[in-house]
Amino acid sequence: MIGTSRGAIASACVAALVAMGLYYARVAMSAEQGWRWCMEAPEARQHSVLIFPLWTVTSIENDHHYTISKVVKDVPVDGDSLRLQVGATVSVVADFDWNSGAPIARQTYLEVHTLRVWKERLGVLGFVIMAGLLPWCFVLLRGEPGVLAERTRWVRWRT
Amino acid sequence: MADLITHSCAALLWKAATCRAVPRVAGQNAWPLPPTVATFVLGTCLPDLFGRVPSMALTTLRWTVPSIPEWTIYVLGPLHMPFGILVMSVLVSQLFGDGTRRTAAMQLTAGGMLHMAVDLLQSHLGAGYLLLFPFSMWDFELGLIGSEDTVRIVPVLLPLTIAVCAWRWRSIRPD
Repeated sequence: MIGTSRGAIASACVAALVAMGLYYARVAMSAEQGWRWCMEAPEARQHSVLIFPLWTVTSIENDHHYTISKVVKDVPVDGDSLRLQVGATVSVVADFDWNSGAPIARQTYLEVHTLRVWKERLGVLGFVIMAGLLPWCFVLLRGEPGVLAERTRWVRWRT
Repeated sequence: MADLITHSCAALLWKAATCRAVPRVAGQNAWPLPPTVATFVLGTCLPDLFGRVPSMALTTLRWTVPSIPEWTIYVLGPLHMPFGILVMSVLVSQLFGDGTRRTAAMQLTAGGMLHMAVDLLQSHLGAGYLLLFPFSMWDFELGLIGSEDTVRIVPVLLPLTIAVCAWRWRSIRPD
């Protein structure tokens, strides 16, 4: 494929995707928000609003303290943990508090995503079904290595 | 993101509404799906398969293997955004033969855009979807359904999709 127009187009696409991916990673990692950004200058960012969409509860200390993880591991949260269990998915809005001695996110809003586990199971089921069925829907063209076509008949190769 | 079953059902229903079955040829064991359906469904699945699943797996893996660089979580993110979907579709279409490559690129892209349309129905806490990335960081979502509401829809959507597709694509006989 390399050396052909297909190769050139594919190379250009890969280059564009790599550039976009690296740019997005740089933007995401330098965003002026979030727990890590607050921890870079905690005194200056006292009472900043923290938003944790779809984070995972990784430990529950007691009825009023728990930790959540996603990109950052084990962010301490001060808030009602009675409805929570380890492994649950939650969305939390919190207030960054440094003055208490140890940095903590003081929860102001909590949403427990009780159906998230089912959504993940459906996602895995969908992936298994797709992985099982989609390859059957395509065939390799005879005489053209690596070239696909949609299946139109119950034959292995398409001429 | 909605789950892959919801996305695939949406793609099949779209195709059932817009795509006529190829009349069967006597004596030939025809493939039941009309042309372009499989490519369209594949295009619907690609944004999650390449743009979301690896990132989610890496995010969880980093809790136990912190040496994994953080940028690896984000680098595939554009594959779940419209411009990234377009480029990815053109890339994947290069696997197809000369005569079908342009059609494949269009079907993959259209499937990816349907994926985005379904995802835009959801509401998330915080930012929505970056529809104009890399040209703008403007984010948007319609917020009509919760992010897990598709779980309630699937038990109805899946049998409905099977029934509609079976009716639509098996009821057409050779003229």
